[in-house]
Amino acid sequence: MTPAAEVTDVRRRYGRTQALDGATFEIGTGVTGLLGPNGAGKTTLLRILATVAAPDSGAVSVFGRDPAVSGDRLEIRRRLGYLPQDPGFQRGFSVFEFIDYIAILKEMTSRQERHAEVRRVIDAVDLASVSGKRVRALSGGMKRRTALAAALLGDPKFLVLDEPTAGLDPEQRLRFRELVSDAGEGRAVLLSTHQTEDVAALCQDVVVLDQGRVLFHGSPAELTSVADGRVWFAAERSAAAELVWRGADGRFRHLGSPPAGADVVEPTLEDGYLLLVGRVDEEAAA
Amino acid sequence: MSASTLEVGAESTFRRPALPPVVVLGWREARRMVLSPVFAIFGAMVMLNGVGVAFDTFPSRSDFYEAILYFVALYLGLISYITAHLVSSSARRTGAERQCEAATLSTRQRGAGLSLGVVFGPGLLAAALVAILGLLGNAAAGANNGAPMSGVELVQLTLIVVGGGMFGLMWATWLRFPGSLPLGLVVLIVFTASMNSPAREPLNTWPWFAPYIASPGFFDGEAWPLLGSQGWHAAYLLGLCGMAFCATMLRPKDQRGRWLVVTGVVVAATAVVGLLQI
Repeated sequence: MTPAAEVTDVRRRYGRTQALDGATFEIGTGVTGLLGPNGAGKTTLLRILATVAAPDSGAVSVFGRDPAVSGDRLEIRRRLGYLPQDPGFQRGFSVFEFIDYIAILKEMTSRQERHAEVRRVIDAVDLASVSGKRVRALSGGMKRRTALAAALLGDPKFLVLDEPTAGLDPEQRLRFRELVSDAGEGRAVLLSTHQTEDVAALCQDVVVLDQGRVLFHGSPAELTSVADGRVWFAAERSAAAELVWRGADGRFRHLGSPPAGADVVEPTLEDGYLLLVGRVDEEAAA
Repeated sequence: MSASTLEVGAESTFRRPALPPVVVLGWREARRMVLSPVFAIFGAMVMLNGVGVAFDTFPSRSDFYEAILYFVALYLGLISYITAHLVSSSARRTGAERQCEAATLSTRQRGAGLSLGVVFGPGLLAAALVAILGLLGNAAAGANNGAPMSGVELVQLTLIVVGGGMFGLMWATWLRFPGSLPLGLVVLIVFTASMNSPAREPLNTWPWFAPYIASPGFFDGEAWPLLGSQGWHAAYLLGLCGMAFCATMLRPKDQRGRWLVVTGVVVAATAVVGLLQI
């Protein structure tokens, strides 16, 4: 038994931009959230784990296999489902036709079995009622679900999902959470997102990436605890805080080092994440 | 902040496919090409025109050359180029390539699938079309004038359509920018026109190197000239198809050395049959 994926000191540069700068972590079964600001290197890391990009240096292993080796890469892909950040769909394809096409690219050659599998994943993402419709005519949420269905083909053991909830309305996001939660049963799921609520709701493990480096790897509770005793409410804005915003009740929510006698409250995962990333950004600026 | 790492088995539900996936993909791509509006509309026009000529009053053999050569070879060949280019580049143009990248079939296998698509789709359809038009033509014109069309001529016409598609795939694979399609069309037309130009000397040499020969006079007098110029010209057209296929296969960087050797052999063979046809 090996971890689903291991990343060791991985570096990748695009021109002058160092997208990944020595990232190291490993993931197992369940849903692992990948958090980080824009340009943190999340998509690059996911593309490397999905075997569609190669690192400049460092080691990557998926199911104990090396994606750089042609035979290993094929075996990894047979166990992999990948939902890219911005999925596209060929003109003229219906939902069924698109997923069926991807199924052929996944070596499903028996027409009967392939069609049964396509219907299974369409049902799983609740798109049976629109399976005959052109993908390009669907809403953004339905398109994302179509792409997720394609990623679920063949019951992959490792799902790589790049911002699957971006642009979805609250109801669609909840539906998506349900899907990803189910997908995480007995599988390894790596979920890149900007939505800390999704991570808090779904993930057993969190990796925070910033400027190509892993800042944090632990449980959501551990990430939340970064903000323990550092979140407070006050009627007035405090200069001591690192981050301040006015809440729904009109009071100011502060993150940082609270003054004596402050009304300290329970932090959320978002608080922990913001403090973690904010601290690193300040250090970088200094 | 350390996380406990769970472990998972690496078992896959993958089962070895009964049919080569590239062949299945080939049939799927063939369907896409044949059903694309460009191909379907112009293909139907070629067929209708051919049938129209066949049922014309006392059609001569030259009428059939006009119907078949002009419409199948000139138009259907170019339509095959356009269709193959559009189908091949659609994943890139629409962003669907991002999903295809992580699939099990490699970029080269997808290219091979598209190439088979050209053969199974426009190729088989063109073969059927020229066979029907050829039979109609020979039946109708036999009593009128001229020698019947040879099987080699019909094969050449089919190869022109396949070649157009293969060229389209190659062009779309290597030149991945928006103006690639019209540019390829211009190159194809200019090259063919240049080879067929009356200004070129010797006049009866250069047209043989064009993918499409404008003068019906080249075909006169040889019913089944398998080892004559017509046979070698069919082999030359097949070589051009092979060269375009190899160029498509050469695009991915992995295992390029092996494909360079294959390409070298195909280019050499095409050069030999190209000289033999003169």
